[in-house]
Amino acid sequence: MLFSLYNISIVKNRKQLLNPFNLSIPEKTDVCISGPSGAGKTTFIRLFNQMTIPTTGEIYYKNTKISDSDLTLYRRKIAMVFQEPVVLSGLVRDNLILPFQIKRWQTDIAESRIAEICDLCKLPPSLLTQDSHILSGGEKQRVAIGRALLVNPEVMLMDEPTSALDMQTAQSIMQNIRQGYPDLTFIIVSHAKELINSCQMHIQIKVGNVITDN
Amino acid sequence: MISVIDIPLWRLCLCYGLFFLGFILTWWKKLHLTRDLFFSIFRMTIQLTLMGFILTEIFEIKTWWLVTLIYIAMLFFAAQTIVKRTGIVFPHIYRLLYISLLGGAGSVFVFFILIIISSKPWYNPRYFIPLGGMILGNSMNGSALALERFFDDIHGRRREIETLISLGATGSEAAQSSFRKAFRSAVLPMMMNMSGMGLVFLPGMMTGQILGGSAPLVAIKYQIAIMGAILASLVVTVYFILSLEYHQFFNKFHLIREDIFEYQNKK
Repeated sequence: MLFSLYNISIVKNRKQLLNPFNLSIPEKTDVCISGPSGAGKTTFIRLFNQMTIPTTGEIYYKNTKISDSDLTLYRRKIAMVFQEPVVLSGLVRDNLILPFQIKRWQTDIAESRIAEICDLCKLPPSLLTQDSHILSGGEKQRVAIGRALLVNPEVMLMDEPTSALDMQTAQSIMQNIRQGYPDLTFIIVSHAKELINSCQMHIQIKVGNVITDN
Repeated sequence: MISVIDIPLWRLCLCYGLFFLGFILTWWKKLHLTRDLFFSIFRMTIQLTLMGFILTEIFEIKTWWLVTLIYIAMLFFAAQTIVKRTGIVFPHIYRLLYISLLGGAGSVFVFFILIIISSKPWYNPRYFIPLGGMILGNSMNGSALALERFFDDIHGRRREIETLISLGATGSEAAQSSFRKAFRSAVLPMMMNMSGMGLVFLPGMMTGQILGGSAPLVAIKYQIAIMGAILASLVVTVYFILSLEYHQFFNKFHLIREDIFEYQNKK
């Protein structure tokens, strides 16, 4: 199993956000999560990279308890693209290679690698030397995707990837990524039928309940 | 030794005419500062007058534990002032401030009074209280700046910090930029002050000593020594505060503790 979630629940400010549930996600299984607004989809997806800590239960990644792992190393394997990606002030290139500007991970990145990522994410190379404040919402999303791919993750979490991208561009990028990274597993929050249909597993979040629909 | 020219009360009252200039200007330009200005001047007058009488008594103290107790009380009030001035409250903030002020300002002051000044006895209140107060006061101001700047920066950069954490950064790595900004904002005013000394203005302590009859070269030595102590104390205290403060913001999962901002809002 890729992920195994046992008796997971989330309570915040005395409010039950997610009721206790068990879930298993096999390897090489892309997952799409959908549900009404405010149902807890973002809270749910953030469980996978421990950006949300469950109130009860344990999560296993490849049969290893996440709570026993070095979280900083673990989060490099489970990359996340937020619904509203954050782009720091500075050049676009610096934003792209941000993971390698964190002190402990500092290393030089081959220009060929950056070019490859730009190609996958449909980022024009000329954009790299521009200031990040000029980026449109869609370009920010693509920079965030490229940034996540640069660390060679094993799982890609994407929260509403089509919120700033049109469906065609989003699908094209994901197709490129699947070709370039065939072993990468996607866990996506989306309502788009095209993305739901492209995944092997569909999870619905309704009224705090996690419902699996293979 | 030249004795200091005493200012008669009636001439001191004339000085308040200078304050009056400030009132006129703020009132005329509707800056809404007149009331605050009045209370600041009133408080300063009362506090300094009281301090003058208290210091007269303190300088007669011959017991080490009483002088030390006064210093500890000053430290206590410094921490209270920082919290009151910044408005920042979170669990264990007073403990953080006491440790930082004692570890920073306190330790530098001990070195200064025992080794640099080497007053006899070491608890001579004429040296202990004013010099201890100068070092502590400057560290207090710098600490307030650092605390506030760090808190506001972390609050404003939450999404950015979350992004860095999701990319594998620890809380410390993600907060590094805020740490740097807060440190600079605390130390930079002191550095600017030091750059202007002797060229733009003569610092207060040196001026006071010269007025009191000290030779300028002796006054300069004291000024250089105290500036060294103030800067060292400021840097160490602010470092302690930021290092301890950062831990309050992140839990063991390297995630920002949102409750610290909720705690602030409730206060």
